[in-house]
Amino acid sequence: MKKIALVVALLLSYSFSFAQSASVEPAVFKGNQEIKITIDVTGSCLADIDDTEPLYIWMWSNKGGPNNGSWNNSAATAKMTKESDNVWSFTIIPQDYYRQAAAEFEFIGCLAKAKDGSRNPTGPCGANAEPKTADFRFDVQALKFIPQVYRVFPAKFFENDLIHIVYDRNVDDTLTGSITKAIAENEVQIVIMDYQLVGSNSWLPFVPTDPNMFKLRAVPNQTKRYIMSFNPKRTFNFPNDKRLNKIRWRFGNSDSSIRTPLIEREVQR
Amino acid sequence: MNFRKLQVLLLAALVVTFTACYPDDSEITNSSGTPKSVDPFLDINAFVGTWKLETVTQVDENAIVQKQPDYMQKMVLSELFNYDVTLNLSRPDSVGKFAPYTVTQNGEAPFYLPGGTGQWRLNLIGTPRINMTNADTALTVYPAPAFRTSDNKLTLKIDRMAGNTKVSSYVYAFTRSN
Repeated sequence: MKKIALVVALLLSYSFSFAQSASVEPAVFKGNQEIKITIDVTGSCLADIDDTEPLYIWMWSNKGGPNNGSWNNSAATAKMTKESDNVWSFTIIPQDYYRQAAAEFEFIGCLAKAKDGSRNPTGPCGANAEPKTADFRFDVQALKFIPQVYRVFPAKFFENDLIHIVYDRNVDDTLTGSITKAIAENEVQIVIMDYQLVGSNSWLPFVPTDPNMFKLRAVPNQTKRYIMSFNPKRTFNFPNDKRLNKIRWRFGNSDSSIRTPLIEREVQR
Repeated sequence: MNFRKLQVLLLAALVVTFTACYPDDSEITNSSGTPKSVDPFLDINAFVGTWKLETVTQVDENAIVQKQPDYMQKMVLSELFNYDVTLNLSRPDSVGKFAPYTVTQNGEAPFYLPGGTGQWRLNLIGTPRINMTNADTALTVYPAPAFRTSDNKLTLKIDRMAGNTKVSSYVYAFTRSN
């Protein structure tokens, strides 16, 4: 009889230890998407604790962790939201919460814990166990690179950087209904360029003294890529006490009879 | 071959390997009794002198992180513009002390190191770096890793930061001209 009781007890403890669970919404996500992680602490030593003690999330990833605080004093930013008895959630955009580029994520890991995760005789788990759940892991989808016909190099730039407005005929050739594909590839050029200063909603037209400036040049050692390179601060020559907010331009042909919609980019500050 | 002979042979091979890998004395000792640099490859002698700019590359650091194709990661500016730039770094009294430098540029190629004349120093506190200051600009640039006098190359990198994130950089590769 004692043996049967022991087996039952073991089976019960086994089933309890697997009751805690975690899920993420959406189930498939990338590092730049908002996700909601829900952890059911049923079966962990955190189950049925006093509502006045919130749980905290502790996270990591293949590239390191966010600011979790310390194990015995979780950061306030890691406080979870109580959804129902024993069910807690946490909503983040991984790239923002981890301060890590979205493309670097392969997986994120997490657990729920008491603010003080150390063993504590008077804590919810007693002196022999840390007040936490098991570890959970979610895979993060890789970001897919999508080639662009029109872009700026580098993608993020400052007003006093050298920037390159790029027209990529390789990509254009793969598109149907493209506007610039109707133009011979070495005749695509900039037809209009405006800029906007910080604190103003109006756009200021840039008129180059040399009209050839808007003509694109082939990128050396690359096929079918054309660029216009310039330093916005020096080119637009706005006052030193002003800051550049955005630039925009259109591609087209020389008489502007064929032209793209305005393409706009924000300047880093 | 008995075991003792094998032991002696292995020991000899080990000694030869270590000797061959260690940098020669000129790379780890500064002249005139100045302090040694922390990193044996970052010797002040590796910087002092006259340098001719060979290549300039602009790098989109975000594209590297995102493992985008090579053409999205870098633009070789020295293929777009004709660079005629010489940099002369005078010898400081010691590592960490400022000394004069001169940049001579012919032409209008875009160049972001502080030009004209100024002061430079090799700063080995924390990440090894070079401070360059002229009348208008103070700039920190980073030498290439594993930098050695014997290479006769000087690579300086300017990082462009948005907050704590490196978004792009300019890499200037020089060759010693004297």
